[in-house]
Amino acid sequence: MSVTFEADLRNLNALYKNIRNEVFKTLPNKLEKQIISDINRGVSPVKGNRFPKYSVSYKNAIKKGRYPGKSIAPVNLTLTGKMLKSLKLKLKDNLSVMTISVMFSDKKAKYHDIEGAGKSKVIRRMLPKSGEEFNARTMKLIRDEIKKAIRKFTS
Amino acid sequence: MSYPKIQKKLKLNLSDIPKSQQAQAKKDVGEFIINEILRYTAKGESPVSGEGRFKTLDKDYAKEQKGGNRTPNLRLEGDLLEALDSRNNSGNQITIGIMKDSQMGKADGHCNFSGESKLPKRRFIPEEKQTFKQPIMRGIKEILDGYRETGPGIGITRPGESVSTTITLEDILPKNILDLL
Repeated sequence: MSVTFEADLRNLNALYKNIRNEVFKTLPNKLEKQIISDINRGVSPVKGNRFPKYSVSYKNAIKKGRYPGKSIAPVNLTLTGKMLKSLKLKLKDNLSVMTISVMFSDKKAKYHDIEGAGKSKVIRRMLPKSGEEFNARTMKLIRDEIKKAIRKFTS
Repeated sequence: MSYPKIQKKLKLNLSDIPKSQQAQAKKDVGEFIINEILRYTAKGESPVSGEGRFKTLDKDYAKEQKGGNRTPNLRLEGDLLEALDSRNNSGNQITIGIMKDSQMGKADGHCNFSGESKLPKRRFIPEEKQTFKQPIMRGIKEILDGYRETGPGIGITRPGESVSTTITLEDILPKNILDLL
């Protein structure tokens, strides 16, 4: 004797699409705010990284008023604010994969994150590389938004 | 003069976390707490349970040292909070706090573990009977829970030398849907 079960999975694609659309609607704005808020408070958005303090010569220049409005601490990578404003998020629309691209278009970002800034070439990591993660709070934000979207369409 | 150590030992619930992952879990919790201390203090707030916002800076001091910004953030030169670190102890314990002796006097000035500080209390490390604020304690629990379960498949890719990160939420449905609910 045998029993046969059948499951109609046609709705799964629609479910996936709904969840993806919800994630795309809610996550990018929150993610952008979280990254900028962390940098403003001197916290690296990248897991396992901290922003080293500014060099003595840079601090002296700030104290002498060479960069009006700039403070010594926290290390917030902000002088004109142009670099942080260049953060952009792009969403990729694909039925099987949800993709969010996060990018600083200002070229100063490359100095801080990859090549090192100033004479001492100090690296202050702003975005994770392949195999790395965002810091715990940001990863939680991403997971929570996905969970919320899944619950919204499955409960 | 010797100052009390401005450090806090925390016992973590590592049950059901594989032994091979416990050291990393402790490290992650330590890093999370340090980031939270940096976040809280940057906005002039104590991360310690029962402690509120820090007392506003004196107007003249703020004008002279902080460009007029009266929000106390425990950062003048940045040395104190740079000395903030976490250490994995044996068993289920970690230590969070100021790890450089040269910064201990300054740290006690703010935290007043000695009871002798004349400065306004701006405590950023809990005393023995205190703990961190609830959102931080919840965050610690969530990090440890993350080691007990399979999370969503979040991959991060970053091609070449661009400062651009791609979060790929790949195929989390239907593979991991049950883990997420």
